Amino acid sequence: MIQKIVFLFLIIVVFQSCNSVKEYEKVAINDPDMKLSARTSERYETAFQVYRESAAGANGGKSGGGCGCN
Amino acid sequence: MKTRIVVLLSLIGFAAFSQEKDTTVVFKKRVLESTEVDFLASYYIQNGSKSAVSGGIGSEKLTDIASNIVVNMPINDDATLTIDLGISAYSSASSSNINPFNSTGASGGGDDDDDDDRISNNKGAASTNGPYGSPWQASSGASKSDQLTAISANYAHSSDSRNFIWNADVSFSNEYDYTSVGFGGGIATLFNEKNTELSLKTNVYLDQWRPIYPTELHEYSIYDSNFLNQGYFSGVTVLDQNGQSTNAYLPSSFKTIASVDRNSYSASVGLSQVVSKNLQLSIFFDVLQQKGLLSTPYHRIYFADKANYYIGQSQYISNYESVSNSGVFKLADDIERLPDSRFKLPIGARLNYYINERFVMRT
Repeated sequence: MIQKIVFLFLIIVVFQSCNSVKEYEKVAINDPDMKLSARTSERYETAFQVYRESAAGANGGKSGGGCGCN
Repeated sequence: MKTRIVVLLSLIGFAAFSQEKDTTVVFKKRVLESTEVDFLASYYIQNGSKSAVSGGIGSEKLTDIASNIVVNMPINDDATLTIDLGISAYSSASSSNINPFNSTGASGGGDDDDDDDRISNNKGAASTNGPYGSPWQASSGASKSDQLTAISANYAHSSDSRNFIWNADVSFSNEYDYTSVGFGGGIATLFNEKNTELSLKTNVYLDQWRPIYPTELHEYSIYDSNFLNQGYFSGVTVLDQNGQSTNAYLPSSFKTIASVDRNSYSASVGLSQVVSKNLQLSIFFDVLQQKGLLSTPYHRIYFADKANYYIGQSQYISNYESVSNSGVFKLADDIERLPDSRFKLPIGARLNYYINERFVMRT
């Protein structure tokens, strides 16, 4: 647990050193396909994985609960 | 001279007081320009041979059709409201075998919804005396299908600078044996010229089962040790492993579930970073605690140190675990029981790279 927290902290520190991209340079970053979340249509694929593998959480979406599954 | 200076200074003071405030309106782009509506639909099928409803043996054939409508509407320049309504209907060979002995279904010699005609052909030669079932065939009982209805609403508000966003959400879902009420909220802050985003979300789900038990255990819970002579089992022959009639079947380990709540509490932390003009990545870290009834009440359990008992046709007992078994079903010793709490620490990451107009690499 402590190792995970330390790793996360290091990631935050490392990211601060990344070059800052200006808003007018984010044409590619703002492309809808570059969105850092599951596509709306992918929710069904995630749902069956939750039902079968109990793999809920850490996908940027719903975590836990809401269905009669584990 | 002094008088002139004093008058001049006082006029400057009045002039300063009389200046109007700057009423120039700074343009603020709306968070959402107009209402967006998404229509989604899904068709899912699966198959397998490890049905948990039959203790790990049996058909896992399932068909699910789902559809959702997502409406995202602007409330004002800074806020949006998202309504998500979904309906899902499934038909499952596995869940139909909660009661595998329905006389109008596969166990009664009629056709079933299984496309496997080999099983159907075998049923033509089977005996029609008494109820029977098979973990490899779907029963036509009420539990073979169900519908899930779910609705959620999410309100999100952005600051004028668009660097701080907070949101609140509520949700509700219901199916025949399960109801869920959820609520939560989150905040997200952007900095480093919006190249870095840190988000925090929390959710609570207060769920409740309405347990359905396997038929044989349900009957035992009603009639206790004399259940083989009453209710469903009245006049029904129970067989032992050798195919002989017996009265020894007694699932004494089984107790109905007293507490049917299942509550889930989660907190999620997300960090997103624009690395370059074409590359961005994110890391998600969740903390999830679940308490209550975490097992599924209709999953059968068979103990290795207990004798096996069956209902149906004795000639299929020797090949019970084969798909050619079309006429016998093993009676459960108990239902699935899990600890009443679970703690999970899922971690996930995404990385997206823009290659060109035609290709984007997503993870």
